[in-house]
Amino acid sequence: MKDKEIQKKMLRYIDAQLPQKEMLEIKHHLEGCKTCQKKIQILADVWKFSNPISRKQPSPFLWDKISKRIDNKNQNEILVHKTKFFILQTARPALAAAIVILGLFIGINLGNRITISDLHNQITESTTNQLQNEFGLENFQILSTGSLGGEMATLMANKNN
Amino acid sequence: MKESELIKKIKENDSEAFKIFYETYKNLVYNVCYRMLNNRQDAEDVTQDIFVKAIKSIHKFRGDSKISTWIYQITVNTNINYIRRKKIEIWFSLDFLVGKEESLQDNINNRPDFKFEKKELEALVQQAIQSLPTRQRTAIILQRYEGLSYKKIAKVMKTSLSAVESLLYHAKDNLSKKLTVFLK
Repeated sequence: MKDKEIQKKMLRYIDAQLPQKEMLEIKHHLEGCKTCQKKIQILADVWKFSNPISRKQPSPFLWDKISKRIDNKNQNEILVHKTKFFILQTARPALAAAIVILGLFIGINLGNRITISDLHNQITESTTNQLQNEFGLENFQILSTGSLGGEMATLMANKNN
Repeated sequence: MKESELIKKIKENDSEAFKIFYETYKNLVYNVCYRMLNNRQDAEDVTQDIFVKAIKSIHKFRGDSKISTWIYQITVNTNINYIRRKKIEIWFSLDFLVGKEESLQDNINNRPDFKFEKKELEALVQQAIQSLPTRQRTAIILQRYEGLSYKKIAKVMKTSLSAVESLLYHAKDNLSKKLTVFLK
């Protein structure tokens, strides 16, 4: 094995986590290589001294901050819950009523809307009335839409006779 | 208080139970955060997030694993997300363009006699661990500093046993390379 390869495996060698064969190979290499020997010694010291058992302690005030955040979150949740309750219990029926009222309003408006055919009928009716007055025809029937021209021609012909 | 009893009380919003829960797991959570982030303030901020998240989502804990495993999972995930967010923030703030302060390696290079305090050696290893990819870093912290078994690490990281072995294999090789470079 080359120096670089050995150095790459040093930590696993220190922790004895290499296969038996590789452990022996490295051991033999170390016996004959002073550079690697020195490096592994230093690395073993560093690895050992960086004590994994030493535990850090969080600040003693950390719990106060956390409990404050939990309380705030609780209050926010209560607010969200209240808003949801308001929407479900009050706003929803109000919205339904508003939709019904709007529906009625639209319905009435649509009902009152004058259609084009209604307009035609109105024009026909007024023209008929005018013709009745002009020609004195009491039993004259309301002209249907589209036949006004024909009726007019008949009446004109009668007048001329 | 038994674990199941504690969980039950937390679910009932018992503030006393919250405190007991915090006292039981504060060191576990804080130490993982500190090792992952290498910064006291960041570690405390993330510890806060973890406890708020854990207490609020305790109803999701089904009890099919130990509560400590569940806490480790939240801790690891929150830290990974934090590191990801921080990387994006640094990228957008263009901080990566600014030169770094004197690193530990510069400090070592100035002292060829290799006489270091224990604290400095700890910092040296810590710095090398920080430079590992996030998943390798997580695996090595859980194994070396938390003393978790490979099986438990696999559970915490939601991965396979062989993946953990591979992560630790690469983590140690990377650390060896980095540390032997530091100590040349």
